[in-house]
Amino acid sequence: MRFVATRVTLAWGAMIIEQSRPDLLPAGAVLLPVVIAGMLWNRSAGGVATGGVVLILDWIARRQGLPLLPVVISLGVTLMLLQTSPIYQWDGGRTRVLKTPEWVQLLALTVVGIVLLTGSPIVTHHLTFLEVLPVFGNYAVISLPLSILLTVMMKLANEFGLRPST
Amino acid sequence: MSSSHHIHGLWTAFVCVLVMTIAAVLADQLQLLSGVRLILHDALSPGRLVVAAIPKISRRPAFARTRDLQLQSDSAQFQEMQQDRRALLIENAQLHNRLRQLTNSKGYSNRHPELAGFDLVPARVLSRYGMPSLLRQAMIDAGKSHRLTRSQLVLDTHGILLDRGTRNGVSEGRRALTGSVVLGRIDRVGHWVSQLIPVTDQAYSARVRLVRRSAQVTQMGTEGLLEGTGISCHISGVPDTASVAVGDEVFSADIEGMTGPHLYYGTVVRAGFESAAGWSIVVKPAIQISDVEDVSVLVPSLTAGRSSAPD
Repeated sequence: MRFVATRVTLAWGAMIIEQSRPDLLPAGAVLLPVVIAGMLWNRSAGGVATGGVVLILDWIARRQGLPLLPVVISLGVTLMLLQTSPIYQWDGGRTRVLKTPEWVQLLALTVVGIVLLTGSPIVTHHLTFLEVLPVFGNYAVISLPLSILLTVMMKLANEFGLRPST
Repeated sequence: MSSSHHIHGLWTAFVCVLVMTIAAVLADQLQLLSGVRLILHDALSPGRLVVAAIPKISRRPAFARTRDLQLQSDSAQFQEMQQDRRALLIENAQLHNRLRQLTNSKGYSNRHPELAGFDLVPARVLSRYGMPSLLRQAMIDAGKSHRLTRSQLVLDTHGILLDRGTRNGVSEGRRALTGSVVLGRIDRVGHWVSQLIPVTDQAYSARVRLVRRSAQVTQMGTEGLLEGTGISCHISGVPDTASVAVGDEVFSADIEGMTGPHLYYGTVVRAGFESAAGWSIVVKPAIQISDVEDVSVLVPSLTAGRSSAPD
């Protein structure tokens, strides 16, 4: 419950900051890394569900195209968390799962999220990749450094035993 | 066993998210999410208001700021000139009508001070829903706490000084408001936020008056009912005896049944006869909500001179 409350409060804060300065922060640029970090933090089903619900609520509040983000990000986090599960680590290599280094997970999912956020006008408005590229840049310049910062924080939390293990 | 539970839990969580997403899409298609959207934005408002109160620090280079300011200034000036043109158009037509009335009534005047005045509540567009060309709704950061109620008009008042009318001796900023572009109407009101529908929405309707400009004279035309069609607006109820032409300007006939400033809707782009139903007129809105960031809500108020009862 404490984890859920913390994540919801963090997501609420991220949305507030984005809405207060839309001239600097595109919608989702701060929220996306924060939600993904929350999903990866305690490697649990509760984290995946809470993050997914927050992304759905964000879609309801600030609708942009189809809600692909909650589905794709939840699936991505689920697949990445599965590879850390002992049943996959000790099966003698019989099961093929997505192997992603832990420090890349947040960054990779953020990039996927940005592509989904910024790529939809290519389909809906028939824009070209070059026309969408500056918008991708606007997101990347905020989201990627934040993802790196959150990755470092998660790594440090791991080292100091502050992060729960599976 | 424990890890098997963990895997099962992860997949269950993902399936739950998938089901909730599908449910959200279906609810949105059935337009059941408007209330939830308002509640969510209201829940964000306290924090947003606190952050918005923190002074902005601009880190843009000085030359870029100067260029932006110049662009903004030029744009504001252009908007103001456009509005002045529309205001003069209306004034011209009104004076022409008045001259005709006075000529007919041999100088007798029956003018009264207006019953209602209008205040403007500034607001910022928080989010928009739907494609830019087919915009269904938008959310603005003003609500019940700003005295807003349902069905109030939302205007683009770019470059307007509200006190201009008073300074010029014109009551309640009427001169300043005339020619302002109507963007839509408040549909739902939360405590700190409101949801508006654009003039192109199928639920939007208003009484409008056509204004015709010719080489000799500008005159008020006939009245009709403007309704949104989803992508543009349509005017019905104009009798086939009326004179309508492409290029005629469309202004509001009244505001919530009260006489007020003539607000601008757009230009007639197509006009044709429908059998027995009079004219079928298509209007292109002057501005889309997708093009503006700052708006104003027109709030009617009783004028001081008329609201106090005589002894």
